Amino acid sequence: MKHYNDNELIDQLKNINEKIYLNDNEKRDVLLNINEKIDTQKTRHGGFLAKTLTFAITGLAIMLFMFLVPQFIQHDSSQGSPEETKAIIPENIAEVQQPPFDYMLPSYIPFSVEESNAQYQVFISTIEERKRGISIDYIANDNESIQIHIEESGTDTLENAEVIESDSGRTYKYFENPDTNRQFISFQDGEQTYRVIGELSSETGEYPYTKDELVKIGESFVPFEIPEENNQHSEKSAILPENFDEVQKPNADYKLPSYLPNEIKKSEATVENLEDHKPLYLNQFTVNYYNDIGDKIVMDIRETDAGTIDYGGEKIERPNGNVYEYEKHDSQNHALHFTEQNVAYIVYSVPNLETDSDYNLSKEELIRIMDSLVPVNTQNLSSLQ
Amino acid sequence: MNDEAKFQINQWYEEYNNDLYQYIFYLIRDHDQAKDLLQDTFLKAYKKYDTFKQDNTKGWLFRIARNVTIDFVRKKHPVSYLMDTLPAKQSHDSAPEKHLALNESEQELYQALGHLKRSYRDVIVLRKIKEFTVSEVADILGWNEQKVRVTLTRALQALKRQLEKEGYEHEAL
Repeated sequence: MKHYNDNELIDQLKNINEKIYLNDNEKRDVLLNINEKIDTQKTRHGGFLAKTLTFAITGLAIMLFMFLVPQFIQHDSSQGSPEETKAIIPENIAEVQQPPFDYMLPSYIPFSVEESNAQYQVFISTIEERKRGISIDYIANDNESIQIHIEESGTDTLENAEVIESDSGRTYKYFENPDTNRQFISFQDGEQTYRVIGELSSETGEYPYTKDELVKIGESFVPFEIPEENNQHSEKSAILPENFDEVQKPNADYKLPSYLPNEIKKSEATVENLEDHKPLYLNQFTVNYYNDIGDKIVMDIRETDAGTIDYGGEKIERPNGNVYEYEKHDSQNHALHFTEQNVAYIVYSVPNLETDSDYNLSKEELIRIMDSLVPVNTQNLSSLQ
Repeated sequence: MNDEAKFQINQWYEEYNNDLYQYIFYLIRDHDQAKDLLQDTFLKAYKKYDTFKQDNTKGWLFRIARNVTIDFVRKKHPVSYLMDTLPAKQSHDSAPEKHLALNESEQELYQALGHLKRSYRDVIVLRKIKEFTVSEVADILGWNEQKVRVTLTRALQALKRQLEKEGYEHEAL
């Protein structure tokens, strides 16, 4: 075991530091890029005077217009208003994995939103506590941005936050974190925690929003629905594994999911003869859907003559009358079962242990996958022997 | 914006590119990204040249580098950002060891430093490696001097604990 004292530790750090460097070519390339971009900016500034003149004339015209039509002034460049009830829905909302709860979105953002982007998140508030949720970036043309976090409620870590009660009676907490250069308000609604976050400007060194402005955004949150026409959930084509044409298929008619909650980088089907498991199961057709780091969603499809098998788990009745069984051994080890016409479906997730991943689909996500099962066209396909 | 600003930026680049690259690299642990962020740092400095008060150029550039890097992490790695850590590279082909010729103990120390939260890493790099004064570190990080001292003490303790976890034994002076 090697021993270090404080000075040796610092010396060692300095040694490492000496090994971090750009080579001469890289240094030169970076400088060339910098100068090239500076020159481009200077060119843009060259036309500045002419633009300023045009801008001034346009500005005068706008001022005159605003003077003549004063009520027009009420509409600034913001998107939505606290009075409006239409949520500002991120552009990619139908493409991202959804958290396992319904949530609201703001109907007011204090600038014109040019770009919006939602992302499924597992928020880590403490080492022990992980909460599922979604983050949304609303970005203006000039890169001004607001971030929204919506997550499962858990331990409240904002002990020193300023408490603000809004006119509507909702309690907000306001907090500035100099370590992360962020300001935010948070509020609870049902089982969810909402945060509206502003970033310290690296140019002005100031936070962009007043507390009142952030609260105004918080007050504007309204329920919404994911647009149906883009909703992957409504798509009805089965997601076939890449080697679908190469593997033997079950004898029985069967289904595959038309929805998966995350992007799939690889998929693969395997077949297994379950003769030893007669009479429960005959054959098994398994499809593994992998994400980019090797976690997988597994759909086992087993031919059975035994009808619906009771695993002693929670029975879940769906609106269409189908009954699923949720079998849970622990939070990391759970699966959803469904049997229909001599075919048993089992869906579950498996993290890639080599990456220390904690990938784990929620019960709600498993249900959503099972709900999305659609028939696979078995015409002209070979069957298991 | 004029040629004087461009000339000055080039001078500063010659003088500080290595220090700034090293600092950004410590924060982001990605060679290519650190290069891009180094470029962004000087472009931002050019843009803000007129407002710079010319008192502590190096500290000012480090402050810009830190903000540029935090902005990047916030946008690209929101989870890491929330955890107050910066993302350690996951993919094997761009592992830091590939770019750095570190011996075994240096490798351990480098990894241990990477496991610290950002504020700890910041203060160790700036105060102990880059040897800024406490006052300069406070200026770069936007903290008061007391916070710098306290955080540095905690950061070094955390680094030692991390090393012990990895099998090293530390002898306090």
